[in-house]
Amino acid sequence: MSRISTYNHRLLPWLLLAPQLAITLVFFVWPALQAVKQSFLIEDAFGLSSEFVWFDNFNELLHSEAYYSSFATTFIFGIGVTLLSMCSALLLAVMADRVIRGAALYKTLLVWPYAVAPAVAGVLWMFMFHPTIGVMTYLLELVQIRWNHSLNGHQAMLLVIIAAAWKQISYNFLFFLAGLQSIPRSLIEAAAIDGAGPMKRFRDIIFPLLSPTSFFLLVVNIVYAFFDTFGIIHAVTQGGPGSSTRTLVYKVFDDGFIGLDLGSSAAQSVILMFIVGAMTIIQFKFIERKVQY
Amino acid sequence: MATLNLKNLKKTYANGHQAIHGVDLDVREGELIVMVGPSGCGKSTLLRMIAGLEAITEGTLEIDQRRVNDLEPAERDIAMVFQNYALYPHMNVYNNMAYGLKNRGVDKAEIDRLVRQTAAILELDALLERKPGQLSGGQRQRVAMGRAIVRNPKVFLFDEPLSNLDAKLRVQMRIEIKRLQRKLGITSVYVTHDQVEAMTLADRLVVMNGGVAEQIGTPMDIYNRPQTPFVAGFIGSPAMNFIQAQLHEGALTLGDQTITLANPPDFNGAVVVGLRPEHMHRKPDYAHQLMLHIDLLEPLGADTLVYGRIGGSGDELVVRLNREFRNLDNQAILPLYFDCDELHLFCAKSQQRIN
Repeated sequence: MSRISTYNHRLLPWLLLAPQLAITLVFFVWPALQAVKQSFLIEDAFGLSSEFVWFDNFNELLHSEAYYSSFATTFIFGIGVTLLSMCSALLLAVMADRVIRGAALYKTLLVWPYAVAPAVAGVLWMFMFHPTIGVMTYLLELVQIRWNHSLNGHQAMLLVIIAAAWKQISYNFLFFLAGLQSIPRSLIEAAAIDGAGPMKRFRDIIFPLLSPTSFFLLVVNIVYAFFDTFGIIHAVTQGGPGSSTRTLVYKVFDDGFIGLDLGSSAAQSVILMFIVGAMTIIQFKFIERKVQY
Repeated sequence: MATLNLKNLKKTYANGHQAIHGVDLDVREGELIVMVGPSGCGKSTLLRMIAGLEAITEGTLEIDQRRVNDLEPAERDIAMVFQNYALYPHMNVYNNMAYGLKNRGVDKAEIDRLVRQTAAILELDALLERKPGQLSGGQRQRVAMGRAIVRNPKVFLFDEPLSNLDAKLRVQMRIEIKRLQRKLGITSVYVTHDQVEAMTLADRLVVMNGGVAEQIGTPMDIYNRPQTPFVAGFIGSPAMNFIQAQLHEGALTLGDQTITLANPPDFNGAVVVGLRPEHMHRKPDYAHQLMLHIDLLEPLGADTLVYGRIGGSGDELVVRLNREFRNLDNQAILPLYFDCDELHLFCAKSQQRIN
């Protein structure tokens, strides 16, 4: 006897699924298919006609130096954001885990930046480091550092990395803190009795036990840095100076809406779709197997 | 082998709550001390203070005549077995046992020798490559023991190590722990809330209540001469019966009957009389008698517990009788006999033993 109750209704399951399916189809599948379709087309300058060109758009991209350099930029940006936000979040979480008085307040304050919209976060950092009116620019000037991210590509990259990482710290912090708090106190105490000092305990016990959390966050952060930071880059540098902060996602926008090369832009989107798909598969595979233990 | 001395040890938390109200205890070399008491009595806190996991507010703690109040847990040369075992889940059994030695800079060959030797004692040889997640409860318990033993510490601390095991395994591990402790001769402090565990393991018992050591002594001492009604009621199963009574010039009034004590204490007034369930008998071989109005029988197999009350008093009594007692004729009143030497008399006011 099966204990799962069954309904003889044929339409009911479809009816119940319909709203979710409709949303997915209209807002996700349809635009994605449009992008795929567009990636095979090339439009004339006035948008009056389009021609089917097979894989020419992709072909052109794969032979374009600008596209490869955008890949490199994206990697540097992604690694920078991921490292910075995860390391800072871990440090904050370890410290918050020890706070006894006012712990709730401290945690709440740390979570706030997550509520700030990406564009607003970008503008915030842009003003702080503004070449002429920025507070930080002024302070850096005092220690003989000339800050001008609208001229210096490295500084521009550093600034967008900091701004993007800052926003993500809250998210990472919450996960790390939850991870830390799920480690039984007695394990740490046992290690202390076993003669391990605080640093050694962190290295030998806490960090390995956090590895599932860390891996999950690694994937989430890379995905965030690759695909979710358009707003910040747009507000701070618009991909410049030159193309020094033009990540793949920003290039999609740049080529499509500024350059009006819709075919190439769509082809880039399709490539990004494949990258996201691959990352999701990696994440699910590893998460299911659980890292380390 | 080491001694352990607690001198007026006190613990007050930052919020003002005083958990330990001054405990004195001298543990001899190789002795197994069991601290027993209900939950919240401070026994675990006291153990954690010895381990160095809780700061000592006042008093002195000495291991081998050396004051260790301000030493880190690692510097006290102690080992602890935790209630949940606290095995490192990402390390295999071998590394779990080796971790403490590695941290102390013992060389590799020596670590290997010690770990394998300890594993042999505990019959863990075949499990050295396993992770804790792949072990049964009893095996984990053994690894936790191994991790403690392998370092050959001065003092062993056990924090309710058997409470996560099922009843059968608990009895088995209890015997194993006792055998091992005898063999290694390491000074040990063992915390439990289970009085059977406490009685069977202890060289000496510390009965804790409300942050105070109510009585310290050998298990039989404590069973035979509990100093307070709390200790009397905590040690022994089923618990001791208490009857409110009056003592006047050596004559004890229990409900509607009065008995004359053979060796009366020099006390007049309200007393609490303690009488263990196993010290009331059906055979009239004893000097005194009381009449029990039977409420309920609980056959346990080997024994039968009889619940009831004595005439003229509201106090409920439980009596442990031989299994042959079945009360077939449904008698309501059962005459029981006892020796007045088996009576424990406590002053009702001061809660102290008077005989």
